[in-house]
Amino acid sequence: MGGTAMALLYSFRSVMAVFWRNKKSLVGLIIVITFVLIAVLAPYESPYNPTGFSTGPAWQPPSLAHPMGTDYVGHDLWSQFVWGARISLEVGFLAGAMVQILGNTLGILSGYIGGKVDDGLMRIVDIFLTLPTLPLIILLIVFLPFHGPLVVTLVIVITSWAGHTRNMRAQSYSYRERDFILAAKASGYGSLRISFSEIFPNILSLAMAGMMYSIVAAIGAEAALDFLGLASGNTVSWGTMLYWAQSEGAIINGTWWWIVPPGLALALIGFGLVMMNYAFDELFNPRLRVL
Amino acid sequence: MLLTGTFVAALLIDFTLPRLMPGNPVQTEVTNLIAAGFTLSPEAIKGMYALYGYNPNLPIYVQFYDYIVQLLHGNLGVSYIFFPQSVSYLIAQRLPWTIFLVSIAVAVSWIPGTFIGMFAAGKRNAKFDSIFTPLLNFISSIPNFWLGFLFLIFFAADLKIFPLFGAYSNTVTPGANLAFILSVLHHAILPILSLAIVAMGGYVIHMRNTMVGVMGDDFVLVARAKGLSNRRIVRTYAGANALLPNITMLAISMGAVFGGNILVETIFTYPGIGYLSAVAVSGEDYSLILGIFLIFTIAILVANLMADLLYAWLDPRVSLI
Repeated sequence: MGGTAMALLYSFRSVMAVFWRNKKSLVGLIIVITFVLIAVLAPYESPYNPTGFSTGPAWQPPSLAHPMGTDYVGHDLWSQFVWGARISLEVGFLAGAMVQILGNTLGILSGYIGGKVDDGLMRIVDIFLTLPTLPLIILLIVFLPFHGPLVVTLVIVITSWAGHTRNMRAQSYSYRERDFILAAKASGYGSLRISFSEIFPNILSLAMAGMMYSIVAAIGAEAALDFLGLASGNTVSWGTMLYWAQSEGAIINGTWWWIVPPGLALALIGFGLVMMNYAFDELFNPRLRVL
Repeated sequence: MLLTGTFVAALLIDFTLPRLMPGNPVQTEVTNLIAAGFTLSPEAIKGMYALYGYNPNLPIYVQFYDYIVQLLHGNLGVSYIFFPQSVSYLIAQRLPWTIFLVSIAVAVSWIPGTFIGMFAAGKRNAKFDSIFTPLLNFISSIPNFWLGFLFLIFFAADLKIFPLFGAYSNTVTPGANLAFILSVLHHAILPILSLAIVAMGGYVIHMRNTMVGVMGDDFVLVARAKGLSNRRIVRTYAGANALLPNITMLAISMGAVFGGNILVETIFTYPGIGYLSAVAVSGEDYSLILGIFLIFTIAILVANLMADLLYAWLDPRVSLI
């Protein structure tokens, strides 16, 4: 196990080195950290109640008292924005992590073991990849008797594990005949141990890239559900902000300050995560390195 | 083979989900009607079950058989919001609008996106790359319905050069006349741009990355050693080979395009399947939601099939049989 820890530590250090060298991924990292800070510090940054009864004046443009203005009943939009960051990031990171665990385990094992198990699993993966994701998520959310951010997270994981599983499987499959894997096999290592201590460290950067994309997809799906009015109860999120903006006539009233921040935040967090990927990509595929 | 598997999976999902619900969809609607002040006799409730083609007392395999028979007759049940219109009638009415919107959006994003990606890969230097790549990544990260929001608030509500909602204005008569066609185009421009701009970012990035890979291949090195111009290498040597993975990418992206279309149509109140599904969701119209999911699946399968045919036509090594 000492070897695995060393390999992981080595990978981690080389990842950090690439981050510092690659300015694109550094920008991405800074954007993501900024949003994480906004979300974590929400209770200290929001002077007003984001939902419930409001006392402020309605339809206010941005001012010192309300940095992002107020909505149609006078809720402070900045408070909604920072609490909304929590929902987006919680669902995004949790779903991303769960897709990771599922995709890494199933993908690497399936690729290494091969045979009928692999064939069967890949058939299921292909079906999940072809089914229309957002309509399926909507269908499940509408028909499931449970609600709340955790259910949304689980539904997103169920509908989006397949892509990452297939990528990991393809990589793992390409490693199964390599000499060091055969050597490990000959010295009596089991499938599980070979998968996680021999194959996994080699494809760690691809796993990280997959994680970034899963998080982006999950944040987008969560916002889409909330925008369609499928948010549960009093949830405040970037998606519900846009839902209320549309249903209460922000377009006709020209209240751009209600519309711009949540959508721009969704674009920026997605951008930040994808830019972080350039560091992982560079580690995994030296061909993409800009010389 | 895969397409059949996906279709069967979609059927099973559509068949199982309503039966897993606590109570059942018809019961929910009966309760809603009673709450709305209607008195329903036991016969009327029985009639409701017959109308929705749903009978929880039959064994599950009989229910499944009935469900398939109904489907083969093109019967997807009755809508609850648009009662007594049938789900298949509603979908047939709305589907052409969505196909119109999505196919134009895909064409105007994929074709230029592929060419931009192809030539961007030919111009690889650090300066170009450090502006071009982040810009494209930012564009493809924008939620397309939010872009539609911005277009509406700026071009429709403020400048008033584009309409705020719908597929054509009520002053024109639908039919093969110029006024109608112009009105349809006028209404379609903003939704198409919202879908296409975001999608194009992804196609450019994908094509560029594939090209960078192909440009490193041996045959490109040979072409260079022969002294062929960079332009010729990019267009006929590397470009032709990088095009194939980009067609696969096109087929894979169809799911995302149709999904994003739900939100864009909702923003523009565009009378396609996407907006219909948003209406169905907010009105808890279960039969309609199930029917639309099936249609989305079929649309994606058809798109996949077309991509396969295109692929086989372009690459002689691939045979469909």
